[in-house]
Amino acid sequence: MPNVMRFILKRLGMTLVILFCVSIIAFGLIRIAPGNPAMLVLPDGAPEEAIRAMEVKLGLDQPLPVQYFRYIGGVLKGDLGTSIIYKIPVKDLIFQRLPVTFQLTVITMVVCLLISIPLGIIAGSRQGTIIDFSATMFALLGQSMSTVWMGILVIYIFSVKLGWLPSMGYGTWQNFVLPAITLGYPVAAQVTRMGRSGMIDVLKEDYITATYAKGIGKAVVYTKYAFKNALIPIVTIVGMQIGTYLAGAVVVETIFAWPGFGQLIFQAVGTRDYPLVQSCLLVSAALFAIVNMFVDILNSFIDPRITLH
Amino acid sequence: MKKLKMALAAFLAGLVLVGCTTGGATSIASSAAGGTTPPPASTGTGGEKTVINLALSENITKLDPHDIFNFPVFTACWMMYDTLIATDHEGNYSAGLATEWSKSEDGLTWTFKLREGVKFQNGEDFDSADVVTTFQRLIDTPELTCALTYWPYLESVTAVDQYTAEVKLSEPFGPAEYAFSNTWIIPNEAWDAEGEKLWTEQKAVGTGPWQLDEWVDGQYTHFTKYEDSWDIYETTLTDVYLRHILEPSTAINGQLSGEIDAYLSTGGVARDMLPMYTGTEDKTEMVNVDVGIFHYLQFQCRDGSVFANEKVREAFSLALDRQALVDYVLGAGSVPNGIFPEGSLGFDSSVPAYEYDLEKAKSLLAEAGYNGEAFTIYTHTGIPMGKQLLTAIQDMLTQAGFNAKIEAVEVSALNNIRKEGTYDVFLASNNYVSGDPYAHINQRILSDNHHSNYQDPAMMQIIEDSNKAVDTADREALLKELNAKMRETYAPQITTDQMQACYPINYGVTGLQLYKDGYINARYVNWDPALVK
Repeated sequence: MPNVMRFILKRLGMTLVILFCVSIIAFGLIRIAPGNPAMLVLPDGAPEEAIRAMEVKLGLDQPLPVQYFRYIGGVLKGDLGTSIIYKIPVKDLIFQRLPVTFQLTVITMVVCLLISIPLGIIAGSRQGTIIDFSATMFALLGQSMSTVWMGILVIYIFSVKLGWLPSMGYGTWQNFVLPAITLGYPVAAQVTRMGRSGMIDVLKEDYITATYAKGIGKAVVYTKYAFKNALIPIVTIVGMQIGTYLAGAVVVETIFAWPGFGQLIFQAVGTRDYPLVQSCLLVSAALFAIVNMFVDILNSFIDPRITLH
Repeated sequence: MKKLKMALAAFLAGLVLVGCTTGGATSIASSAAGGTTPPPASTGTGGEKTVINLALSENITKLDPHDIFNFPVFTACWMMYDTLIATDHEGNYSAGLATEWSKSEDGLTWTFKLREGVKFQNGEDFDSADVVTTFQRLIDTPELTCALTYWPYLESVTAVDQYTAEVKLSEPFGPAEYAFSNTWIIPNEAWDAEGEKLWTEQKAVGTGPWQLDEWVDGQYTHFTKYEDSWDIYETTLTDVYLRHILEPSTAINGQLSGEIDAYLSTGGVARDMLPMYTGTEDKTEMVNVDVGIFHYLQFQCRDGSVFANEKVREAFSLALDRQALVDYVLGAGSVPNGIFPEGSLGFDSSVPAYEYDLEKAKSLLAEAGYNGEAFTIYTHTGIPMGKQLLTAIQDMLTQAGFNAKIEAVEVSALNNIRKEGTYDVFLASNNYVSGDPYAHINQRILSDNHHSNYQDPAMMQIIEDSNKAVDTADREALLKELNAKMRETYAPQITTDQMQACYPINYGVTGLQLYKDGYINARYVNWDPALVK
């Protein structure tokens, strides 16, 4: 069996173990948190009998192990349960919300990488120039500003003052611009910084000096040798960020009234919607694990010295 | 290896493609978050307008008119459904889907003469079968919020003839009209055919002037005009969007940029957010409404508790400078005179507002033998201005000699604390739907569902009598008596303020009904370009 296939199978096996652990942790955490979903779906001050009846209806009267095995049994059959608040299958809710977050994540990443990788690489290869200084400032600002502040700032400038873009909502390409800037800028800043420092480090390596000694031109050295090696930490960071975004960009989705997965998790936790919270965490963990697996594979292609075990 | 590289490339390309495809999520069942077009922006500040966008501060999770979870669902229900009896939310009732109604002498049988020629939005005729379906559902499903909140004594419902329906109660029920005015009528045939799918698959239909086009979870609820409604009114508007925007600054920025025509936040916009509207005076009007939403404090009165002693409770109340709370913490509102805010049934204008007397509070504490025992006042983080209010209250209590700690917890945590009765005092807010305090006094005082452990048979008897008083004047007198009793004993609750809600509404938007009980009805929303400045 090729190395890569063996690696994928091994990682998938590990992912299953991780998901099993996540399911237990998610199940436990939401139940440790104070609050009773039966009380939250009934009017405030509902009588004890009504609360008891609702607990029975939701299966909350059963011992915790029974509740857990019922849930996990359903998951294994592809049934993530029914939302207590929405009263529709959790699977439907997640599959409605996830693509919305997915679109935002991918567009944000593509735009962010198209800007930040060249910027970081150019800044690193032209250390001390005005480009380097500008890139450093760009990175510094992006990493210093909080997402909330950034979101409010871009809304104020582009929606309220200039009236160019909608301040909220989802549905057209215009709706993507401000959330993508807000979500992408901190990552772009990080990637620029990593790209710059990676390039500076790589250019000091002996093998780069050796390539120059061989008479290879600067452009080829930068693109064929230096760039490829500077890319490894960037891919790792980007992979981790994609996982995080897919798991729900809660803040950005709240600021821009973006109906994504993050907003769903936020709401589910607040309403103690047990099946929804558990399944959202499970799906988040799965996404994170899968994206990281692909990042590892990608890294092994970029640098053959990295072996997949 | 080459194949694998290609597979990876395909995977990445797939990511990009999916990401670039707007409308990736198709509507599976009820609440498609994607796969929809965004609401058209509210255009212009003058001229004819056909689309209006109203921002609400909470999300909707389902459109079941009998299982309402929060304020915005009421707003959505008023757009499309009707009740047998209509209400002005201040205790006055008028004809709705019933043109006449009467009750038997014992108050147990209610007979309704129904409006003829009314059609549901699916073309179904409205008649007594729909009334039977509606009330039978409440009898069969007692855990629905509508059944739990309004119908403790619902026994049966029958169709006398096509346009006459009869509802029987097991006990005389004073607030029956209030209950009828909060029970939306659902269509019989559609219910038989679809059942719960009416709400879970966006097939909800009513008889109101607006029909549901689409509910997009987390985004908006879209209504289009239903021209055949019995309650149709003259308007240029063809589409109403209720936008669900959880973050206040987003909603305000949306209004500033012209995407939103009115921000109808539950309980009004927080006063500290209002400076964002500076400079928009010619575009947006700040509509202030003295709503019946109030903050109250409930004491733990079980034996051995600090607040089992009436003098300590009185001292607590006297130590609160409520006017200062209204002026300096809340920024608006009024000082109440009891548990029934102005505009609600039971409000007694002859009773003076709560007194503030720090010296008397100190001497009462000394008389009560209070020795600085520490206690905690809880609130939950969802209470508007709750934490600020508690901080000020703590300061006032300290000046009187109390040793109060404060803690703001999540709503579900406070629910648990109240359920267990493990609190000394908690601060919460409430409002009386349609201005009727029935639910509050029954659930929180008579049934003591929040476990204050306060026992006063005379007080409980007054509540029970008020429940059975079918004559409104009798009931009002009993509620005033209850208020006097609670003022006298400072138990189990005292109030701190009656809130004033501020709703920023753009000039030109008319017809919004901002009720005194804090609810918002946009059913008759309209647009008048002549009002635009």
